[in-house]
Amino acid sequence: MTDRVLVVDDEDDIRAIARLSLERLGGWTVVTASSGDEAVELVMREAPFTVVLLDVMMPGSDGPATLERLRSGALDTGTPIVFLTAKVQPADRRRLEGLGAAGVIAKPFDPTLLSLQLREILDSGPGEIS
Amino acid sequence: MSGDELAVGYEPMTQRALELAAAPAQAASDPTGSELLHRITRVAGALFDVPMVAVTVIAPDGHEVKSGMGLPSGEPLEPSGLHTATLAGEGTLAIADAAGDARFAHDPWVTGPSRVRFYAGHPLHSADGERIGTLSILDPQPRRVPSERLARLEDLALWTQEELGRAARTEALNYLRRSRSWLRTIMDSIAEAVVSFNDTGTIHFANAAAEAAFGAEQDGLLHQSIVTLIDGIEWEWVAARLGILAHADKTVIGERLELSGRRLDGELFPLEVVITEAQANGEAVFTAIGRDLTERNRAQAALRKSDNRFRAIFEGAGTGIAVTALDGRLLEVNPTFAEMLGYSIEELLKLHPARLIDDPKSRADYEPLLKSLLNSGRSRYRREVQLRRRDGSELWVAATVSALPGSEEGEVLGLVMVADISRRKEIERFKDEFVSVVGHELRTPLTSIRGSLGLIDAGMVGAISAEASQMIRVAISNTDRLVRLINDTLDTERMEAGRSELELTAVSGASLVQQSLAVVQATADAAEITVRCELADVHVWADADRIVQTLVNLLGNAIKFSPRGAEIQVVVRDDGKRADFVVSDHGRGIPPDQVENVFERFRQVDASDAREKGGTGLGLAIARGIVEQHGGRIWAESGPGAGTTFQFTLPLADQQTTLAPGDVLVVEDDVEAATALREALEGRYGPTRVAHSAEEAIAAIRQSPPRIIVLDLVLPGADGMAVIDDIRDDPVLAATPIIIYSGAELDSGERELAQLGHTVFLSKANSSPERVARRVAQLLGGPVSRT
Repeated sequence: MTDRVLVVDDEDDIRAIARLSLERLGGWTVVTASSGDEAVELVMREAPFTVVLLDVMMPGSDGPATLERLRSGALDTGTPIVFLTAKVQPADRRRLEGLGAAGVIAKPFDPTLLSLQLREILDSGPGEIS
Repeated sequence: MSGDELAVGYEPMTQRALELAAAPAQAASDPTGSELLHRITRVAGALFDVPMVAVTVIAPDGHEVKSGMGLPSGEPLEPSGLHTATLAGEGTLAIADAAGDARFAHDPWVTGPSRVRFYAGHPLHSADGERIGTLSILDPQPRRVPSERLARLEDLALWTQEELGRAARTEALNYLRRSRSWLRTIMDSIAEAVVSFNDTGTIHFANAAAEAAFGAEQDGLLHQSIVTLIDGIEWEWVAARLGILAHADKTVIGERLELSGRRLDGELFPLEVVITEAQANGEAVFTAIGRDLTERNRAQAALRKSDNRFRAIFEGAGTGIAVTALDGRLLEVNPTFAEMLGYSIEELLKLHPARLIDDPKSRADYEPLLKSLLNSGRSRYRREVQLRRRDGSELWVAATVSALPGSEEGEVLGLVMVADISRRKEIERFKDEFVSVVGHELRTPLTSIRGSLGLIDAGMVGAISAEASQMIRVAISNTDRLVRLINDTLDTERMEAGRSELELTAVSGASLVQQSLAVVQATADAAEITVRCELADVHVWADADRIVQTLVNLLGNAIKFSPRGAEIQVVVRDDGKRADFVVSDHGRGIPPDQVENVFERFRQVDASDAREKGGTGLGLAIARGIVEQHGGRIWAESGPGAGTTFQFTLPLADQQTTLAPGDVLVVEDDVEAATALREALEGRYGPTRVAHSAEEAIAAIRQSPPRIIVLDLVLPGADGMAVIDDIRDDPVLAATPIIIYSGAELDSGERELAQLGHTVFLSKANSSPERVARRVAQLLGGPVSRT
């Protein structure tokens, strides 16, 4: 079974690029969600995922809120969550990792390296910076 | 004794006496007139051909010889019966032979050395008829003088009387003259004009000040009428009010009058006068004491003018100005102040200004702030406050509060000046929003652009021509550059806004360099640059990410500006006090006049660098910001063609600080704020002491010196400056690091005053207690452990 990644971002373009990049260059099976709510729904319905790539700034349930929901109760399957964020200050990065994310990937990302970055985070174990 | 024996030839004696009497008077220069008396005695001696002549006067203890001829000298003259009898009698007393006269046979003059036998004396009278002495002629030979001859003695007595009276008058006149001169001297030393006049208004005295005031020469006012010195006043008017005229009231005596004085040349001047009345020798004497008010009026006018000028400035100033009492009540506000707040001036004067302040903390601070400002020696406070207008809308002002001397001695008022900074605040808010929007909103489309380009470039969407591929690469590199520019801009903004926090740890200098090299390795390899390292084993107290960012920036620059195949050098040194990081290249160098400028924003040596080298113009500004935030220093050394050396310093981490309970002292009067600070600090540094006033703080410091102080400047009673002043003189305590954590914005002068050992200023508006806690470790200069 190929690795499955859930890409959560409110921007259609970015979902499309991430899908293309991860499918073509990384051989992932990509499922996308355009909001936190949809992500929670998909995790309930289509789990398990190898990793969730979660945008931080989204209308409605944002990245950290969505992470909290995915980490609570029955939904918490321990699936690693990687934040995708335009906030790249070391302080922001530490804050996001402090929330329990496996890693943080900065926007804009290089689509040729996205899959590689994701693999590195998953290989290095929880909480460590890629 | 026969009559012949007693007879004398008189003609020659008379001739001789006339000559003596007509001789040039030597007495002209003799103020007492005794020379004239001597002339009389000589004339008498010649006229009567007697060897002895005496002019005696009644003295308190007997008789005194005023002038004598042929009298034994050096012998006390005893009271003589001859003398007394002369005084008691009428006319001339003549005794032909005193020894043969029972009344006088034992008189001391008769029995004494003078051996007087003949005596003739005539009483002397003063001008008012009192007997004052005698003129007598004496001879040891008895003789008889015819009565018509003795009448000459009476003439001589009258002459003597005249002379004595004249001498007495001269003496009295001299005394009068002397006392006049004293009076004049005293009067002339008085600054006020003193003029006295009689009941006809005629001036009989004026002192120098009066002469000067009225433009007269010495004695130039004498005999003038007093009314010539006053404009627009008739003597009748004065006389009526001085009580000179019958049925008149003395309405002006003792009153302070403001009149128009007239100088002798006709010039008028303001004059203040008080007239007093006295009686001298039964005559009314009026004395006017006056002062020329020209100078005073001129000074008052100047003061009024300057007052008016300041009033106009106050009224017309574009800045809001208020004068407040110590309790904060507004005493005076200018129209701009009222206009800014939408109240009328009258309304503002009635309401307590704390009601105008929006923020509760600032409101609570208002009164203590004023008081501490006025109690301390500081000149002024400046802070930014949010006020509320009458209509409820908000208004940001920069308020400067300074002490203003009040009208009473020792009274102090507050001078508050407020400038409307709403627009600036709005721009700041807009900038903050803009920056955060840039962060997200610009990056999102850039993510799509960069992503799409990357996928095309990677051939994910089909093969493209070589030219297309080249264009795609151009698009990618410029997209990356745009992203860097955004990142650097955000970084700079964050640092300037003080929102950039350091995570300080002890970290190896070598590892920082190695992490940085890893980032730039690919770029260096591409340019065939070799990096030579000399890395001392040193640990610094730093935020690793930020220092790596700095080193990457410096290394990136060095690589960019080095010729292909060159070598760059990285050195980390430990000089015992701090660590030095040095990055040198052999590039084209920086012109000396620009070495300082390279750290400024958008200051590239060559404007084309930004395009060619792909820089943002912000890298070195950020590097400086980061190093300075660490308490280090960064600089460049270079010359054209000589390559460039960038160097920065960081604090060493090997001085471990161990804190005992109470080593951290918080001075904060606000209970809530103090609790928040204590909680934040105790989480990291263990039990923390809290003082709620300057007095408590000083006592706590004396009891046990803290290692670090967190100090609020605005305290009830003595303020935070009092704490600093108190420990400044102690060489050990003065080195205590201190965090000034205050609501008030301090200007540079105040910051200098508040400087102790290592001093950091954090404003309550921008820094949380958590941040204060983090800065404590930074200030202590190394990792902190607890005992």
